[in-house]
Amino acid sequence: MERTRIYLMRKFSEYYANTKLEMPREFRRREFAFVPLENLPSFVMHRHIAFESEEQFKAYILNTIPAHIYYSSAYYQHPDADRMDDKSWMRADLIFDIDADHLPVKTRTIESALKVAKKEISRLVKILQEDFGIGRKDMQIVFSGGRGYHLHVYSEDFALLGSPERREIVDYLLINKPLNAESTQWLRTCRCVVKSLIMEVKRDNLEKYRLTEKQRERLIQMLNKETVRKAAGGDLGIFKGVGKRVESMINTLVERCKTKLAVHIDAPVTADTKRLIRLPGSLHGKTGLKVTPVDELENFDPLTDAIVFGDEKVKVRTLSKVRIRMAGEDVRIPAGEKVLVPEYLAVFLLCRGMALYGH
Amino acid sequence: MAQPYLPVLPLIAKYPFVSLTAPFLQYEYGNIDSIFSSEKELDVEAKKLGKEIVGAVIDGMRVEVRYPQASFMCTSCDEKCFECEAILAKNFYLCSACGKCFESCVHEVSEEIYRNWRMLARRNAVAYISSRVIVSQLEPWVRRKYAVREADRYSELIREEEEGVIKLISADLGVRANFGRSVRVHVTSYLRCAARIKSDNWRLVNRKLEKGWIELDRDDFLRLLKEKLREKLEEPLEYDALKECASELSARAAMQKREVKDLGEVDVSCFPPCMKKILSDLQHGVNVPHTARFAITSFLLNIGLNTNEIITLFSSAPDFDEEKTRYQVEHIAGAKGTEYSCPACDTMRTYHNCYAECRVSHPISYYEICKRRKEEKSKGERSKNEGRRGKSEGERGRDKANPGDS
Repeated sequence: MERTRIYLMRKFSEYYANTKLEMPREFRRREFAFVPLENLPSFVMHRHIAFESEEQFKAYILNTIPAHIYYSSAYYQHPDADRMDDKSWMRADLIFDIDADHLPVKTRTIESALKVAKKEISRLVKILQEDFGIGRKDMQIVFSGGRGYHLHVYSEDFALLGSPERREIVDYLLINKPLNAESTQWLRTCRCVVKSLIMEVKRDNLEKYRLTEKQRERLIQMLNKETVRKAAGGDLGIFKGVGKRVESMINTLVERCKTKLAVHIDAPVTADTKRLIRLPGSLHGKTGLKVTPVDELENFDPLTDAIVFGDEKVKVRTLSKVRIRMAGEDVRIPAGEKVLVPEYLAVFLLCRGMALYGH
Repeated sequence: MAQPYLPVLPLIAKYPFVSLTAPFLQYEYGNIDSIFSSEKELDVEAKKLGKEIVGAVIDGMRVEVRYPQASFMCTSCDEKCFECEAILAKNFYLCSACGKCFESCVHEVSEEIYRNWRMLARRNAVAYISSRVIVSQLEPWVRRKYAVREADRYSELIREEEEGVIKLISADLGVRANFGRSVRVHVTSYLRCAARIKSDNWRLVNRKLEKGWIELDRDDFLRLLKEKLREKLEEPLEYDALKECASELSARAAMQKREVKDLGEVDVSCFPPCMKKILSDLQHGVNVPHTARFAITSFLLNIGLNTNEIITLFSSAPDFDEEKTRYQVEHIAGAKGTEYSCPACDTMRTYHNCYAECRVSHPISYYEICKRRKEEKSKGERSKNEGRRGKSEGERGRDKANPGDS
């Protein structure tokens, strides 16, 4: 355990000594927080820290060797005040967190979890552009180094929004309890419902919903241009009166469509105007991967592009079974094995607690 | 003869909250001290009017304010009076409220009319400033009520205005809007007002949102402006003046103020469904998210339980850790200086901690209303033989009426 920690401290320290971290904009107004590697596995956070200069910041890091570095989405008059109330909040970047663990799709491997998260973040980008009119250049997408992505919005207009206002944005994205109104999200949902309904009919899937012969016929009859137009126009009431089972089928489709169309962000992160978030460019202490700004989402492969350590061979002893694809290579190691692995994989396994350093 | 500020005098007299009031008062008085120290009859009367406005708020009365029956004059004027884009292009919403153009207005009305308008503008502007200064020295609930009632009064007037004036007022209040057949409001401007309007159709998810803009009909837009105005009027205007008026009104307000009701003994059967569920989940060892733990703890604290009682309630949970629980409960109770209040229904909904349609806006309201009903019922049964009773004084909850009216 001790050797593992010393090794990780050395590696993290090397990274921070040789890397010029880009400071967040207006960093003097931000609160910083650090979890020192030294205290791991206990998670001790040093917070309410502010910096006057980049040099001061770098000196602090090299002195502490943090496993995790966070900074505040908020800008404060007094970012280093100990009590939140004394900080004098000015404004805060609008931030979003998409974490594979909060998505409705459950995945078994970290690779597929990250793929799903990537799809979700690109849907978020699209809706922020199309519905909210936020320009792509005002957004920064960041791979969290763990199981998801963050998105930072830099816009004066949005920065001034308080928590209740941000919760409205959250509810919009999650399609939280929409009314049957002619709203963007409800119309989207209805269009999806109509499409799925037609698909279910085409695929002859109606039996799944336990419709009676008669109900099935009525429903198929109903799917003409006029009703489709009405339903897609937000009026699902036209299916009322065809029978309880038809109604419950429509409800099932509504729920399914909402889940499909909602962007599953982690709600408290966005609603909180004083949130601490990982510093882009820093290392994620539970993976050793870089919290990586992503310019081109399409071609970004987190388990390759967020690697900062080399491939020099390192001795480790696995504690659990390892199955992962990193830097384009498939790795399979049984538990309790003494192996030589590339440095980046060694750091990853040690950080995750899946191996110990040395043989 | 020059008639400074002529075209905006009716506007200032009618809507003294606009930012043009500042350069006008500056022009008339030089500085704010000379307003409050002035003993001229007009100014004394104006300050009295300011006090009356606040008094009317406290007593729940209406106050009549006179203003000239004239519109904003620049809309129908062709004079190239001043090098200013806002004026020349008649885009008054671009006005930066510097007031320079109005100082040098070349338009003229009869001396008598001008004098009368100027007097009304001065009086109403001073009354407005005075009312804000006075109300800022009173208890917050008076200021809130003042903001609501005054925003109502102004908004009735704005409703009757032509588009030019509405545009001007909207820009003045900082609402980003485009006017066409309907009004398009920027989503950030929309949210800053709408997040405070308690009605489902004002939730963002129920609106049409396109490229950052929300389309509103005239009624909804005016409702939004009213909310923005309310927010502006509620801001404290702290100034060391009119102390006597304030203390006199403060006594009056204290008599009006209803006592905050104690919630009485804790009655779990009156807990709202969300709190019942969280509590039962906790006690049955179901994993409860952080937001829900916070909600139940702050709820219990708000209805009057103390830390020890709460810990006892939680202690049947299988993963119970007394030390950790105590730390967290004490933190929420305000050990670190901030005392937290229970999240409102909107927040509960956002975090998926809401499980029912109770038709209240706050879990505490649900509890208060339920408790009150029970009390009234038991009282009613006890006093059946005493004949009819008056309704108990003080529907003092957060939701004034019954659940269902919110």
